[in-house]
Amino acid sequence: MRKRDSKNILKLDRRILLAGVSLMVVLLAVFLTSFFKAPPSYYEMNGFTLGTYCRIVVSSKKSSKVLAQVIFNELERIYKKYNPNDPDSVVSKINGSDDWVDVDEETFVLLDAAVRFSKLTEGSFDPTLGELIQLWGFDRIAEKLPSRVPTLEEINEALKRVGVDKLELDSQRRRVRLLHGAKLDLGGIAKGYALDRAYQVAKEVDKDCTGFVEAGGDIRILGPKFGSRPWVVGVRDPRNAGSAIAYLYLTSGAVATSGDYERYFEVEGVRYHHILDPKTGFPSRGAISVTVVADNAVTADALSTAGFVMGSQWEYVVLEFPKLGGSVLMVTEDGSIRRSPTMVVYEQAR
Amino acid sequence: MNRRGKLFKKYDLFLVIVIVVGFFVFYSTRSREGRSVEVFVEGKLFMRIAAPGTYELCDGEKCLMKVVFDGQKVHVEDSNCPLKICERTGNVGPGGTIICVPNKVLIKFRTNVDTAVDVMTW
Repeated sequence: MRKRDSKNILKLDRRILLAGVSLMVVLLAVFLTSFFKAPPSYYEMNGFTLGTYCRIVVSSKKSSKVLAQVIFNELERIYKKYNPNDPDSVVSKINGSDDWVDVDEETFVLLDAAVRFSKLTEGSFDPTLGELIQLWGFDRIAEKLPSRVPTLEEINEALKRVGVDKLELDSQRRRVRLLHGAKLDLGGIAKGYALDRAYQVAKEVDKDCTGFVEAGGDIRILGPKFGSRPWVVGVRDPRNAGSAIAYLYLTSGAVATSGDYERYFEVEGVRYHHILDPKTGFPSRGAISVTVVADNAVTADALSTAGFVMGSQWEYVVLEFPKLGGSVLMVTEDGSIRRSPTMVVYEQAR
Repeated sequence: MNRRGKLFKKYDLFLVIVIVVGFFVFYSTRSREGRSVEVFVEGKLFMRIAAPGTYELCDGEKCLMKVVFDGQKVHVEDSNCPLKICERTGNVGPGGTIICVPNKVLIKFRTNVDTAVDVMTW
């Protein structure tokens, strides 16, 4: 009887020991896995809209997949509405008329913002470059590659139809009019506006959602990574796509970059890119890349374009743009990197 | 010799060794760097490349480009699009992307090692 008890106790001990070892191994595995790797709770959607590639990375208490689709649909809506190559777009409607055109509130506010940024940047940002962009052949960039430099006469003729003074806004009757054959092109601000709208619709669905939305290298932060950490944004080296020249750590706001390395053609060794100087009618010189961090994507988008156009006056851009709400990181033609003093805030990991 | 008095039997010891070795094999497999290139066309996964080589990206009879993967970097050759931005992008390492807007092609260099950068502005 006693022998049997002793045997049972030993059996029990072995089982407890084995169970204990197994439990410890499982706990160790769980601990190491959770300690060394954060749980991947973000849903990622990739697609093409706004005339470029877009990426939505979002985490929500509600369905992240549904939220990503809601965001994508909003980007697509803005693209269709303001695409100058779409004959049904609002921009085509305004461009096709030489009289007042009634517009909805959204369009009026966007055009008003475009005019304001144009005045703030002394015309370096200009929403009326449609004619000039068409002349250079950068209007249907996805379909054809420009190959001809327009003559000086052609450029001077097109410049007669450029300038924010040729865009009239009537706030009383919420209507707009283009004068002297000017043509709208909201390429320097519509992408930023779409990203800000993406932020708004995302927050309407889930105010606590986090993540970011990227469209063609412009980024709107929805909220900190995993609720507390900054997103690490690499600033592309303008002459080496595979590497970064700086890293930004963002928990909110937006960042946009304008560069001469995406849309361009070369004639006799000279690079002609798509960011045109409204004063000369030629691709602007002085900068090869301008990155702007701002509270919202409209500001970042408009100021990155304006900063690029004003590249030859880099001191003004890096020192004055923070007063307009944008911190600047500029790469000048000689490869030097110039920064706003405020940029250091974003370049430190917190 | 009374074998019934032993705490461990051979079988028990074998089981413990299997569990411990199994755990380390599992964990070391998880933590080893895995690299692959994913090619998306119009947002849908079109091709996954794990082995080095040159891969022709054809949609039906229409060939869009060649994707060249050497195990460390990936780049695009002979793109049929007018812009050639994808070709100009050059070699891209782990975590990087190559984009062809006209063909709606996205090439992602996936890695399970944290590349530190979440997104690039360009």
